[in-house]
Amino acid sequence: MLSFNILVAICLIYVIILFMVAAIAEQWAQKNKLSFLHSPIVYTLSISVYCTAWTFYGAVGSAARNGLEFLAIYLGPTLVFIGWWWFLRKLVRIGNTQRITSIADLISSRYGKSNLLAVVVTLLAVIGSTPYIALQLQSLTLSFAVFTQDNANAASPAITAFLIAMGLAAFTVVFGTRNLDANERHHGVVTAIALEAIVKLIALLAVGIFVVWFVADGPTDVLQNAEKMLPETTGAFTPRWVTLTFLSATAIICLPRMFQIVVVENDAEKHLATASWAFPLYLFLMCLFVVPIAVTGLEILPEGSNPDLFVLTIPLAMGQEGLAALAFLGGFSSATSMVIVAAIALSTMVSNHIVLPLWLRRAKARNPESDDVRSILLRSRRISIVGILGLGYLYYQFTGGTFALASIGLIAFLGVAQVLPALLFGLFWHNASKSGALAGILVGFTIWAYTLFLPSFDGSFILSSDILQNGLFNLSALRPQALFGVNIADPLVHAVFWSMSLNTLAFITFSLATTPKPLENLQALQFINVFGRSSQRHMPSQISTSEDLFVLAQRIVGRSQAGRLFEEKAKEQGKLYGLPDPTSEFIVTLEREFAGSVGAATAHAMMAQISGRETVSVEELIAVADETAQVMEYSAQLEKQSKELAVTAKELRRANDKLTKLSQQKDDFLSQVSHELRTPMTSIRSFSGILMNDGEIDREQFARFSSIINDESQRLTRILDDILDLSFLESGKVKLNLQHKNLHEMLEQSIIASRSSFSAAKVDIRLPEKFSDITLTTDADRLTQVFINLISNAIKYNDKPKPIIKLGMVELQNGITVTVSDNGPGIAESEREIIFEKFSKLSSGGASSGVGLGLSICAEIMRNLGGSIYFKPSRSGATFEVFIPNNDVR
Amino acid sequence: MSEKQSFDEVNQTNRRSRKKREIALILPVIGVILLLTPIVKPFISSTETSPLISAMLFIFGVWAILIAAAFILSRTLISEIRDK
Repeated sequence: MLSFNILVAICLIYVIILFMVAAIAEQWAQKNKLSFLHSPIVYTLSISVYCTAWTFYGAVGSAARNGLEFLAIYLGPTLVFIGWWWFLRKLVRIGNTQRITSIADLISSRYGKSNLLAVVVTLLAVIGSTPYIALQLQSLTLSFAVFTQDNANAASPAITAFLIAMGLAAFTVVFGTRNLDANERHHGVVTAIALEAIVKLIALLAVGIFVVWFVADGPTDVLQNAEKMLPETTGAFTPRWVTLTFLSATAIICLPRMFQIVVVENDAEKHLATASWAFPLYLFLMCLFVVPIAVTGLEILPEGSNPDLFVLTIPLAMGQEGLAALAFLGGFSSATSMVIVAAIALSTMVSNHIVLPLWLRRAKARNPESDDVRSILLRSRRISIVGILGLGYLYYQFTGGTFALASIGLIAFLGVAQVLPALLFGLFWHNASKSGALAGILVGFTIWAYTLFLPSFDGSFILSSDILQNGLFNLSALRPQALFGVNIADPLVHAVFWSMSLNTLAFITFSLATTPKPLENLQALQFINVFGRSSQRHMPSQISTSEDLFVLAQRIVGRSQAGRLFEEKAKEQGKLYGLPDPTSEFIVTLEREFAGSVGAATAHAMMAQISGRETVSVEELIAVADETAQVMEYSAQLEKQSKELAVTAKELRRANDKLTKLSQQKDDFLSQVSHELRTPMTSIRSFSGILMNDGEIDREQFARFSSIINDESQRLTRILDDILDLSFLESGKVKLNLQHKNLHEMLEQSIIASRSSFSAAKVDIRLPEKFSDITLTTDADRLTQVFINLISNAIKYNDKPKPIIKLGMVELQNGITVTVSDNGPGIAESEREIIFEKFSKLSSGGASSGVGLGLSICAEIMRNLGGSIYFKPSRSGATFEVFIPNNDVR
Repeated sequence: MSEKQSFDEVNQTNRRSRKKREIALILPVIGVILLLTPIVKPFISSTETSPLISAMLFIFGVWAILIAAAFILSRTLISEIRDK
């Protein structure tokens, strides 16, 4: 029999080896000789901290009692790891980019950096982990006891447990809080744990091989025995089986120590790829010989032996002390590695989320500069580690080691599983909110405590056995193990069902009922889109400099304003040149400035981040600002363009209206012209037809017809001349033939020309002498044409026996007005509007030979000369006024 | 893209790697169906050996296949991880 002292010596030597390995690894890590430490194998082996003493000893016990049920505990993690691409990769990426230090940190960070949430998760983790640590102490004590059964000198179990707890605390303090790594990574501890992983695997495989090929007669023999020795039911594919698989899958993510190893201690995402098959393989090998060991133990050991210790007792019973010592070391490794990592993870959480915030609150009263946060953190971690192990030890003492190992493990699993809905939804659901997470965790935690944790004390702690039997307040609906009258035979399945479903329900309800804060939204985006663009450019978070602030300010408030702002501040700070120091007062000023541009909430979030309190890097913020500026510029351009388009469209519509009108006028004009041309043409054609065909025509008639044809031809020519003249004038291409000429002369000439066209000797035309004072510089021929037209019209349409035409003149500031008035019939009011239109022959003018283009031509000429012509209504006769502008007058 | 590589080839490479990722997504689902549902119960109970032994052999068999599949997948997916 191995003596107790030899066993203690083996343990001490083993621990010294672990110390050395951890110390060397730390040294290597500091010297950056990390190639070995960074290998995926070390990472995978360290994940095997999942296999605690519960696995090492308890799996065999579970197999002996419940058949294959124990396998579910390893299939859950297997499923999570082979699905690493879907979930673990995202978790690890978030852990790396957000500098996550623990599961509590992850939850708090996702939900707007809520410290309340972090405290709740930390407390939950501590409460959930304490029984688990007690379990490791218990199994270590039990395994020591196996060797000391017959030894009167051996220490009592309580003292053994105490010594173990002390030793573990010392190891963890030395290597877990040696330095404060920014990433919370502990290379020394991880390497030591990888070594322990190898030891426990080799130990279990050695015992297994020994059992199968040296105790039994090979696998076939073992399988035949299994049919006889193990329970009838397989324990697989039942509701409990599914529940256990779910719990173990949750545990590999949510247990603080597993999160520490899988996410926090992960150096590279690539390691996950290796772990995705290597860790399931490790679990597979750990499970391979569990059933054979259980079967053989049941067969060869006396009835009533504790199946939880078969791994130790079989080699001892067969006299293999060396193998027993190896198995003992395997169990020792399993328990110690779990306790060490759990203590590190929990102490990080306790110190970061409980101790430090409290200390900071107190420190506000003192001078914060004088304290060293670093030493405070390290001290609080060391105290936390001792405290956590102390709690585990107290729990062990309190329960007195009465539980079967497996049941405590499962209770702890469900306790920390309450974090799962908050974690899972937080990674994939934008609307998941802080209040939802808080409500879900609290509801789930309460139900877990009420239906599983407290009842596990069998009425000796808080819940009396009466309450267990009859429910709280004697309400049968509140019976802890048949909540709401739902009778599920298995208390574990019952607790998992109620806690997880109500947790999720509360989480979703509260998330939908509340609006997340801006910071929560920001973090939600960071988490959910961790594989998006921004995460590719992962930058280490840095304390902001004035340069960063200035670049950001330029993006937000514009170059000149930012320049002004910084210059003023620098002057205020007494700096003659350069940028101002990023004092907190300056940052507040900046934040206020930014708030004007981007809104108060965004500005606050930005400044909180840029001043180093958050994790988004300055470069990322600048990118955001750039994008916003681009979008704003683009939309401004669009707005401008659309305005321009509206103006253009309006102009086009106007032009279109004008064109339509012009086209209408042109059509009218053409139809008028053709009508006017048609009349003389018709008469010419008919009279020339008569002349051609009728031979009998006499001389007199011939002369008359010929004269009509001649007159009509002349009229035709005149019309065409007028049309050509008008279109020429309208085209604006008229070249004015400017010359000095006396107005009197021009008028006289006009009167003579007008008289000659009519047999109108009796017409009295009165031309005052004062016209001879005026000399014009103008196109005299054109102006004369206007006067001829007006005077001719006055003669032509006058029906009075004694027609009188008066010419008058008014001198104005800007020119002169010549009036031509007559005593004729005048122009009817309805027709005054159209007299200057083309082809506007008035109804009254029966004797006219014109086509109604005369006044149109006059109007066009006057337009070309810069003057105007208009009709002036008077009581008798018609009066036309011709305005000639000053520049023409000399 | 190198100049020799045609767009078709790039497309094909993309499709292949997408398929790999999709298989990675579906592997745990296959695992869940085979290991958690009572889908295999009739198969186990109809054999001559005891349900316990056949269930054990089935579970270990599926487990081994899943590990092998995860191994093959991780070899191909590891190239798609861009570490800092």
